[in-house]
Amino acid sequence: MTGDQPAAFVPAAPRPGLLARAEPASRRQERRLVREVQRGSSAALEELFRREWPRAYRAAYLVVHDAAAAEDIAQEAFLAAVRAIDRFDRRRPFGPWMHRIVVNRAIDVTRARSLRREVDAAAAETSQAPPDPPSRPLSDDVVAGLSELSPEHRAVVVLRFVFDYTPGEIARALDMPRGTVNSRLRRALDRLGEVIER
Amino acid sequence: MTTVRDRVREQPIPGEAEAAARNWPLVEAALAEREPPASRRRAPLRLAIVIALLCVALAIGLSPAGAWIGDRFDREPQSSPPAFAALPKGGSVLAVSRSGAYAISPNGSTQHLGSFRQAGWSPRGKHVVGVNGRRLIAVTPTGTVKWTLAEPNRVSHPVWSTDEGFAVAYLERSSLRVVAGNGDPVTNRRVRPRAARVTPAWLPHSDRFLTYATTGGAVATVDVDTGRVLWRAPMKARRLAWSADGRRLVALLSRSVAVLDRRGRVVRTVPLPGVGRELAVHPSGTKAAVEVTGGGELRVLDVRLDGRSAGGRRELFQGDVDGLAWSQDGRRLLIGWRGAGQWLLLGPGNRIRPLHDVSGELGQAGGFPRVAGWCCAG
Repeated sequence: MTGDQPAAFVPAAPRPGLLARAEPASRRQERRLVREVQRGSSAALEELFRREWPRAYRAAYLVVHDAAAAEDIAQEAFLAAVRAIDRFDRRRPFGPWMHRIVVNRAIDVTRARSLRREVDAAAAETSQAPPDPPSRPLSDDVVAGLSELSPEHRAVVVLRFVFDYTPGEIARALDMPRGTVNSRLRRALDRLGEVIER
Repeated sequence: MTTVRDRVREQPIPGEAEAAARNWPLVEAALAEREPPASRRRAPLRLAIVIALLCVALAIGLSPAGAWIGDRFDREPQSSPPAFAALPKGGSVLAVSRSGAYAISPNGSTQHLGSFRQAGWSPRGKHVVGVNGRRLIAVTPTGTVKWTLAEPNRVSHPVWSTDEGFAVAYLERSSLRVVAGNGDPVTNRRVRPRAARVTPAWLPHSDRFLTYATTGGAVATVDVDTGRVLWRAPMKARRLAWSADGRRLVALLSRSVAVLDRRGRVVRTVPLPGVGRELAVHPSGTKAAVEVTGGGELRVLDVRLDGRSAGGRRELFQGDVDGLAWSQDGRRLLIGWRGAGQWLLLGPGNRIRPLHDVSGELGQAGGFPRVAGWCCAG
């Protein structure tokens, strides 16, 4: 958590997406907020929290599909950010640093859960333990569609559509070839499109 | 494509607002707790002092004294629930601050037990043993003194035996002593000389065998009835704790955690990424919460002591910690976070629940209340 340094993932250039058009003003404001937080301003931190929490929580939830785990992940990202805020280089964007922590942590959590399910299932075969209660059915089509994808595919969708990153930026964030990002995005969109049109 | 984008962005996410409300105080506290660079810190502090002095002068000069005092009382916060009301039901926490020891019930009520510097629960939470100068004192959780034992010298590090609680061990200077759980002075005896200033640990399910650290840099288990040393292991322990089943002794050393069997043989050593300061062994004995300091940071680590993942470490928390205690069922870890004036409850899935302003709950004069024990929580 504390090893997440801001230099590791930085968007290379202004993006042509929806958020990118408003970027200069919001970036200036973000820099101002970070500067004030570094000086100890609780009000500035609250403004940053108010801006970033919903997206961090949304992103985590869409990957892990569990409200408690999403809260833990978002909380962890914010605490890491605050603890390292004095070392943060204000010339770099704050959001991507947070987003990278959120998404990578969410992938880890989802993988760990999958592994645990496998272990539990293997143990159940031999011990005849009572089965876990069925998980709550996912009511929404997008969430249901995402649940059919691997954590890495979900992360690509989240980075693209929640955080508005380009495939190149996603490739750097997740340390994978750009072509892989594109193919995962394509496959995820196909799957989600099918679910939504059902 | 736009449809998917819109749906991903607009899909209502359950619990988002509630989670934000729960977590904002924690994030804000983390900002207050961090150490800003010195150059940034001094000027605002001076400015704040000047402004505060000006406000006081204005208040005294411009308003009648009674009105000012009345206004101050009127503005005391009324709406926030007591911090300790967030404790889970089923057990009470023992806290020690400069003003003494307190028993804290899960309904949020607090009871001052005495001006103790150190204190510990009896095995079933019916009594607390504390030390004050040369006196060893046992009280009920309602503060009624059951017995007092006075020694010629300063006493410290009291600990009640397990199960029926037939004995209490403590140090008088560097002597290891034991007295019966009813405080009968006839039973009070010196068991061993040259004990280091480390709280001894009773072997579970026994009122006879006590493990302690010697001033010569060893850990030893002694039969308190005969004074005979059963085994001795060369290691300089800072904290000692037996697992609840009595199969493993866990010793916190300077830069590692040693796990010993009942005969004092080291079965495992887990290196730490810093200097160990505090230890709380999980009731299962398979893991421990360990506070370490290193690189200018204080951290609480979850250290695996047993099984295939033995030696594994995971960071649970980073901050200025003072006191760790597991609930008896092992589901929660209570952390005293001195820097933020909070206690934190780490629950299943590493969910963190802060208990704000715990100093204020017990009276600011006493300073931060250290978490000294958590008895019998279900």
